[in-house]
Amino acid sequence: MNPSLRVRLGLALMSAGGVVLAEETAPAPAPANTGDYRDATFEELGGLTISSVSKAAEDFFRSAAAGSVITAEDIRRSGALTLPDVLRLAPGVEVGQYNSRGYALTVRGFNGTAATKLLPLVDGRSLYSARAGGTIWEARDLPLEDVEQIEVVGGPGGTTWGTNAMNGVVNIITKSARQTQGTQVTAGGGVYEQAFAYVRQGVETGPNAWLRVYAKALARGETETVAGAADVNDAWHQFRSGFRFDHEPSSAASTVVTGDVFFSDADQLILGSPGVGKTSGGHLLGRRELEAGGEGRLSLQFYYDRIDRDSLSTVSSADVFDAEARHEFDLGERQRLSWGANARASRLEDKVRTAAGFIRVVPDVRYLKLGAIFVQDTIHLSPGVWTATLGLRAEYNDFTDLESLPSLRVAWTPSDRLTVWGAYSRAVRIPSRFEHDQSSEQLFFGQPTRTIPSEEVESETLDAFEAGARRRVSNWLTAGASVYFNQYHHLITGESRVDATPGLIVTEFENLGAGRAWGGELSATAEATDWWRLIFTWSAIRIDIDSDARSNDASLPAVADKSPAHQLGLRSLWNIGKTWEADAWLRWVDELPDSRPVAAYTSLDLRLGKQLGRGWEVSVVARNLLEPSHPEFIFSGVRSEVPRGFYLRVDWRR
Amino acid sequence: MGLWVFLVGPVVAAVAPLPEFEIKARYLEAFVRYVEWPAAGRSEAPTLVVGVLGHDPFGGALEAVFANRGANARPVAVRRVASSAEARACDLVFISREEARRQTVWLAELTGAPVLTVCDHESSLKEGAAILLVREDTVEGGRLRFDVNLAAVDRAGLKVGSDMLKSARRVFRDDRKGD
Repeated sequence: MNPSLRVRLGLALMSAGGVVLAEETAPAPAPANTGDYRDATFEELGGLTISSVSKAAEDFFRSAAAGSVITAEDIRRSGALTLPDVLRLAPGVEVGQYNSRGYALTVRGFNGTAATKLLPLVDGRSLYSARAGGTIWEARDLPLEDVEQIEVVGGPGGTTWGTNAMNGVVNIITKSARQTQGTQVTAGGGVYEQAFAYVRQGVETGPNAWLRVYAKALARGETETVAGAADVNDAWHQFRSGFRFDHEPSSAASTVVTGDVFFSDADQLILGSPGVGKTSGGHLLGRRELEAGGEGRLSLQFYYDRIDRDSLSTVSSADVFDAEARHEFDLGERQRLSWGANARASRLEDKVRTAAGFIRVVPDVRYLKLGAIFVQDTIHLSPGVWTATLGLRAEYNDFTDLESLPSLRVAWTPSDRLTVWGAYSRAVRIPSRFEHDQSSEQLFFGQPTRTIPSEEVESETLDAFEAGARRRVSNWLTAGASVYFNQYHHLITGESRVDATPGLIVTEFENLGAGRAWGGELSATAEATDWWRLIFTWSAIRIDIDSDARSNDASLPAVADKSPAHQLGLRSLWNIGKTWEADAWLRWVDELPDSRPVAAYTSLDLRLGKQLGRGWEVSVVARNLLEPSHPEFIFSGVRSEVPRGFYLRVDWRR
Repeated sequence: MGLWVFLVGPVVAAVAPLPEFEIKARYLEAFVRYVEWPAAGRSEAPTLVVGVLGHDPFGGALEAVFANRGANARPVAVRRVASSAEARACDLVFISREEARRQTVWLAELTGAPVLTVCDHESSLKEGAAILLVREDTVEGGRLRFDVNLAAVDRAGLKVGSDMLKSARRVFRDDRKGD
């Protein structure tokens, strides 16, 4: 078994075991470095519990990037049932729910229903939509019970992950099938989170080979309608089923195969008329990792991903084929080199239903290709103390041809208690198909509008300057802080004019926007005892974006008003005895001073859990307890508020 | 009131889990008590020297541990050293897993010197280290244990107390192949 795997397995055991009790064997050392361990015997030392910092979290502590790790334990104890709600745990993530299934979600600004500058991935599979730019979160849910951890990285990740990883990356890693052997059944329901169920079975399919299959279903009620506005009509149902297969014959080679299918039905209003929007799709991913000489690793990955959407006005589908090879090896004593290539082919199809506003989309089928080569060199300038990472990615795409994404990161780690880092990176967002070459005609509240192809539109670019530090202040207190200055160029603007044809509004896209955003994130974790943990997070952002005098796009400068200037979070995780858990999560989110403003809000979630033995666990969760409802984000004409919710959850594992 | 309890939680402190490097520092302190160095040579000096070769994961924890020893304990000086030549002037040398690449050469160069070599990279014993600190993951959480390579201890002319050997996870009579 290779060491990283051993650590991962160990972590799974630890999280399954829950509370770590050290009193029985430990010689009761005081929290600080004082006294009480004098003349400790080896039995006493062997009984001490190592604080539950995972290998990944440890690597993260030393990494030259801003970000945080959300663990399976964090997810379980947050009480959140969907991925966007879980991401609220990380500092700097802006989450604005605008109806029961819809979330505007970004990091470091530029939020919107299509937040174009954040790249989320699950096990190396991109969740980003090339059609509209951004992520359709309702289609990208996954069983949170299967998530091992989520790395939320602020700042560009383009050198590693490619274009569109501009403001940040959300890297979701699911548990190996080996870690999810046996049976799990989860069911629950309540107010707002009306009903949910999850069933998982893990089996050993052969020597060193494991499989899990699962099914998940959820039904969420309507959000609250704002007085005087149209009924939101947005109840949501989702069903998802999938599997993961792992084969680890030796530390020299391993194979992973994952797949899923899903169906999602959501009540909706399109330009005032009610209906049901349907989304479905699935994926299949395979990855093989091999030892390639000495400390070298070779990874080969392929995936296929499909989403179908029928929103009443348009019927669209997106197929993505993606293949990647990556080779990592030691170059001499002080360098580790990683290089590889990535190729992607997509097919995007849009058909319209004239009855619902859209008149046509041309061309209705579009094939896109993308290719990249990348190289990254990690240099141990002074082993274990100074590390520099140089990366370069060259990426070809159909719209803007060649893009280059360089980055330089430097970390100083004088001890395991301190990391100080700085970075410069250039990031790129390529135009979406919608921005580049789509020609469409639409009736917008009776107004005929036409979007014409904008084949001259260029990529948006970003020069990002970042710095940060992480410090283990003491055995029980860890803190991290990061700051950034982002300089944006060639931001895409939608330029509208009244056409020669009377009454027709024509829109095309240009690169007339530019500006900057700056801010920071702070987090502190206090683990004063093994049964109580307190986590504080804070983030701040200022955005100053403007469009050129030639531009008439008013929405771009308004992005500054769609990000909360400050966000605060405080979580308390408390184990009462060996079987009870009482958790609280308080959040404060600043106002969005948009033309349709959203007031600042405070939310409180509470969770009480009890292990009943024999694999049974019961929990009660109250969400958004302080108010009957509050708005978080306003999308177009939708006026909806996130309601207070309660649910009861029962888990059984064997 | 209920809210207050949720947010502030209990105030009484109990045993906090410790960072790995903190527990490692305490192990080094214990090794100094349980290992006997040869009477001849520089170890007749009243002060034992504990060295960290290359990367230092302790960040001051090692000094803190040795500063808090019992009154009758033999005095210990902690040093950071950069080469195996400097390491030969120590009685105990710790090499971090961060140095896995340079460690092979260092351990070869330290062979036969009266130095107790303590490492935490899993391939260390077959490279000739005397003691390996290993992390064990159990349902109750991660623990730190140690393996002893008696061949390396003998080559260094050291003696390991039987109490210490009894507490080891595994004791090898010769340098391990593989593992």
